[in-house]
Amino acid sequence: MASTTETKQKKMLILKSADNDEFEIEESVGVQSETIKNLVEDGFTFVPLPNVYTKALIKIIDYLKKHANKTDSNDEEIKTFDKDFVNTTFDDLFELVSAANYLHISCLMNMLCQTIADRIKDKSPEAVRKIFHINCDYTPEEEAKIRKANAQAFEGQFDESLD
Amino acid sequence: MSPVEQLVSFSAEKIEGSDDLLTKILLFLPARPLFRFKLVSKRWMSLISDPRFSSLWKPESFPSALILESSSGKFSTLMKCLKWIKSTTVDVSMGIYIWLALQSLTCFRLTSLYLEMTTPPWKLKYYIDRRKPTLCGIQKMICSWPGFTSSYIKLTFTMLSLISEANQQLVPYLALYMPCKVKFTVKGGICEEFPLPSVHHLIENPFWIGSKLSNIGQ
Repeated sequence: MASTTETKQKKMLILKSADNDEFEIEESVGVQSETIKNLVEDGFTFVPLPNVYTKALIKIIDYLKKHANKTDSNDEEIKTFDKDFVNTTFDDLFELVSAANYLHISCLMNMLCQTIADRIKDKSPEAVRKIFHINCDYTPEEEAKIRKANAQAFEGQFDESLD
Repeated sequence: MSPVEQLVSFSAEKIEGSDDLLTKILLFLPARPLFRFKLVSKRWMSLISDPRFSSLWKPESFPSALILESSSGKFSTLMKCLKWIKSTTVDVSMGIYIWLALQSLTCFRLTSLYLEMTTPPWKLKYYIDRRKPTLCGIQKMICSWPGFTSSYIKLTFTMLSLISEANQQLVPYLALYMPCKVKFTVKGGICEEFPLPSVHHLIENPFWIGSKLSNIGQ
């Protein structure tokens, strides 16, 4: 398998971010994204990604390159890479998860959703609102009602930090 | 607003603007935070309470749990299941055989159960062996019950939920709920009945499901 890809000329793709930066990557790296794969199968070699900004795209290309070269021996290395990859701010994670969703990269989606869920699961609803930039649309009476109905879920101390 | 701030709120908006994306994230949360995060906003509440959400929510990501809600479709599923089991009385001797009707509940992972009993006060605990493969459908479980091996036991029960016990490291257990009265008929005709809270009590307090049965009875 490795020898045939070496002898053949590598097929390349150009990805264009929402802020008009272009990135050249190998087709074999790009097709880990279902969205890109579908376009490649339709004969495209130039892929505009109007929903993905340069900052996120650079990270995602890094991820795809790393995971395209997955072998038995670099398992640990990839684990370390993944750990660093998700070690970022919530806003970066949101940008990445939205891009991964658009690009349909399921392993990356799972990793990002799991990370976000793990990082919010001990937080208070108030902290979650701030993290997701949500305005509370309940009246104080409605809030009290929900707290009462789910009393056990509100027992104990919650993490109020926003990181 | 600075460009950086704009970008920041934009990325959060992308999540807020897509039910699909937010649902995907919420599906990775365990039961307790999900109940808590109903308070985040009306939209979160409606996504979490949606019957489609509980049908997608799988114990692969959460070792063992099931959302139980009176307002959702899940409850009607449970009710069906409940009726089915209610009409099933298991007669056993030499240990207890437990049949669980799981055909309408897709998100269960069950294999073997460990049954523990202390009398009095009595207590039932069912440990699930997670190393074994997932089984769906009607599942038969055999548990040995020291002290009752030569007794005749009639057990009518309903299983409502699987939920992992908080603060206990990775030991999921099955809470078994008996909707009406539990009848233990010991050989020789002695019969004891244990009154338990109604199903409505459980619906109102979903976390009872994860409690020890002995606590539920209190």
